[in-house]
Amino acid sequence: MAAAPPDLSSAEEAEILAGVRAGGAARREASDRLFRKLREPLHSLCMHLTGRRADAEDAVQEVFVAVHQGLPEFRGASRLTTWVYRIALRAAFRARSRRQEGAPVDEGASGGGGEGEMVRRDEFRRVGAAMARLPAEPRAVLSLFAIEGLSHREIADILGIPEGTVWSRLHAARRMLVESLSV
Amino acid sequence: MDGCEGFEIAIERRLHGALGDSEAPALDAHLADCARCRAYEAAARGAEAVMAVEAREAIAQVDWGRVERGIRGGVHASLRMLVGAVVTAAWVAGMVWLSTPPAMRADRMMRTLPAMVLVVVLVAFVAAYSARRLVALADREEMFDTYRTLVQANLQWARRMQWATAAIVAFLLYRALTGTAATFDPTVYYGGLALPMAAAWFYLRRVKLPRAEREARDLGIVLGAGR
Repeated sequence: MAAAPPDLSSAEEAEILAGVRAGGAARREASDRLFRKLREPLHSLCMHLTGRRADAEDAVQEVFVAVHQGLPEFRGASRLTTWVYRIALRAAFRARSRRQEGAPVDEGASGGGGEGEMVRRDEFRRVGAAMARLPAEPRAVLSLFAIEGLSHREIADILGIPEGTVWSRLHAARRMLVESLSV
Repeated sequence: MDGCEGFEIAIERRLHGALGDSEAPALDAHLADCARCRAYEAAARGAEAVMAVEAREAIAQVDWGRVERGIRGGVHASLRMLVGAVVTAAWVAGMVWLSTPPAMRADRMMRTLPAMVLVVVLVAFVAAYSARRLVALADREEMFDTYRTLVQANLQWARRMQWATAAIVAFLLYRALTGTAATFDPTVYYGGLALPMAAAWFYLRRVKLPRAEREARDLGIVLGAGR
């Protein structure tokens, strides 16, 4: 599974929100803290959803701009991380929509030559292309489950669906991915 | 639905640490006999492993300093939009000034002022909305249902606006070519107004609308006619 876990407890979320509401330097510090805690899992999510590192970076930027502007009005109807992940999903879909359809996905970083490296890059390309062929919703489910540290309860909260439904959504998405891999 | 679906879901639950100890033996027994479920498990594990490595490698290459600079720039984007609106209003004021005889300039500027203020206020509204667009989704219930509704509304808005803008451009060009006035030069006045409107139409037609359509298609929204 990918990336560092979100690792943001409810107490830390409360501290961040208090910092934001205090304004000034406390707000900047709270925003920085949130950025450092969530930037890697959010980048992973956006990377899986967009298929391109450049798009993922753009999306992460957009997420934190939106969070910076929206946080003072955040009412706490959900956990802070849930709120940020929902923003990230939309930012990633929007980043993807900015590029032409059929644009190639990234093939993973080059780790040198050799047959093993070629096989690895081929796998990256195959899975990336199969993911890119999926509609937004199954892509989102698979991408959220690929982030280490996100429980199925949190994923259900992010998607706004009942906890029991999340497994059947994942199963349906996986079936689509398996079919897409065999294309 | 087939007999293996329940086991495939159990495979997913085990892969993500949510399968109870009491359920594991039944799954293992089924896997021993079912080649299709073994293939499903291998595909699921394989895809997640590839995604994990890909994400780790991508993270290792991110220049977080550049991302932070981008965030700081983005925070001020609304302000830049507002500055753009003020510059556009100044452009229009220039057109009015240039197309009006000197003796009537002050009077005509005073008449045009409310329209220019309105443009700046509208852009300020759009800038504020733009900054909060991503957040609009965040506290709602079923995420994709809400998202589809928002994208459909955005698509409809873009479609209507492109026709409205085209109609305004056509009207302004018609007046620029055929208009007569004793107190100002209609070619400069209407032609000057048509230019930013034509730029807005081009942006809607070539950038905004295709983007909204790609986003809608990605969400499985069937696009009707209307472009």
